[in-house]
Amino acid sequence: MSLLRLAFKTAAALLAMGLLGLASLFRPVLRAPAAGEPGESRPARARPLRVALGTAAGLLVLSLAGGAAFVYSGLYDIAASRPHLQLTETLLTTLKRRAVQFHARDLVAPDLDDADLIRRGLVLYRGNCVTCHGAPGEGRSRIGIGVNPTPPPLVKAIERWTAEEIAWITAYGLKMAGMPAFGFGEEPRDLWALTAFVKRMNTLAPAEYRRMAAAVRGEAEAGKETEAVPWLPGPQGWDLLAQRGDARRGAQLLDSYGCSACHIISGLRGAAGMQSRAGPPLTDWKNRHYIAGELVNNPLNLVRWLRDPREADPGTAMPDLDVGEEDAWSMAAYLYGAERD
Amino acid sequence: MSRRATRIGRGRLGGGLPVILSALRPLALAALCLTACAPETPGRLGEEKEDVGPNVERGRELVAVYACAACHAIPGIRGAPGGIGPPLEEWSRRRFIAGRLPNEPKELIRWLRNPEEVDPGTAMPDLGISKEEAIDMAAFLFSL
Repeated sequence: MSLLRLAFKTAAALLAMGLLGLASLFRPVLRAPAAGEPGESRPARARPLRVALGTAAGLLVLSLAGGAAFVYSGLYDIAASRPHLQLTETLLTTLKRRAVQFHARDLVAPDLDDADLIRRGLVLYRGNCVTCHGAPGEGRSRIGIGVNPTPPPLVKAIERWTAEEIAWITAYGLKMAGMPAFGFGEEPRDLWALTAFVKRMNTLAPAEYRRMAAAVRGEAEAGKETEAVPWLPGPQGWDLLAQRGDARRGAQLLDSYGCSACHIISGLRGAAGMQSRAGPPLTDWKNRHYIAGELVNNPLNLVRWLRDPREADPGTAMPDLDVGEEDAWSMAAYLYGAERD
Repeated sequence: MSRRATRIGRGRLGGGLPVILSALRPLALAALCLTACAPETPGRLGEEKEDVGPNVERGRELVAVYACAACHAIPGIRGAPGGIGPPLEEWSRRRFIAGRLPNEPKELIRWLRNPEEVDPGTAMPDLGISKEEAIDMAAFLFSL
């Protein structure tokens, strides 16, 4: 048994003893001497109380001594290449989330759907952030690899944090996470520009990001930049989905078009589990960020994909099944609405 | 307070045990039982439970270090994938890589090392994985 395992077992034992000691505050753990025996010179209730307090005090001292010994021994596995214990991870993640929420509570973001702001944000992002966080279709550099906690991909950041929280983290950084404090930037709106770009990344396809990056590097033809680069997000199709999609019909269509022959789909049995797995699982579809790794996953793109996959992605194995438009909306409605398996 | 009042029982030649010591006896017994319950976590505390071959284990470490689990749900690797890439569970049963390459180790290595060459426009990033690393990572994925 390793020393570390022994240390953890000892800590578990101490905790157990401490809890029993506390429990004895409410119910005597020991049998008090019967009437008439020597030793019964105080009320029976007081002795268990003193026992419990004495035990708790003793255990506290032992725990502190044990903790200090553990820290000074150097046994703690501090390697970034190995993961935290689940308990540590949960504690740190919760702490981070709650602390950022609290400290960012007074910030108010301006309107972030502004092409100039997004463009400035892209420049700042490529200069400061891509190296650890990557971008759609672009990996983090060697600096960002092997960092624990992993610098997360930021394409979904706006789904998990508010814009104000993202700005706060950017400005002040995070202790014990390797996230630097970038401050407020050189120009007055730089912080919000970065935030605006992080928000825009949520609806940005890799090909669009590349065009944006080329544009700010000055590689786009003069004058053609604005028409080629979609700084602002286009329509996503969620309102259309609500109007045109019939989820129940969609489930039947997914079966009749034979989708279940290749894809595992939440809630559909397919050919009794005989899916060929030619296609990736479509479980929890609404949380999937990309379609075929190339399109951002929204109803408009999904309908486009279902109706003509080769137009969206020429080399794909996904077949063109001649899906009609109404059918495609219904199938999309089912996929987005299906509960996680 | 008389000396007698701080002791319990008639052990130790009639003088009884100090209160605190006799409290520890049942507690110690309980604690001893509880130490048996501490969970064993294979590999997490630095001990490998079974040797599945150096390639697969090294591949698992590499997949963790390259943070593949930041985007992909991978059995046995803790991450916060959030669905950015498709889940990689049961990888050995998949037919295609990225919807175009046949799923074999040689092709997977090619994909890991240069996704943009295989599928321009893919969100899968080039992480600068070396050939030796890709071989081990592919071995790990095919063990799923």
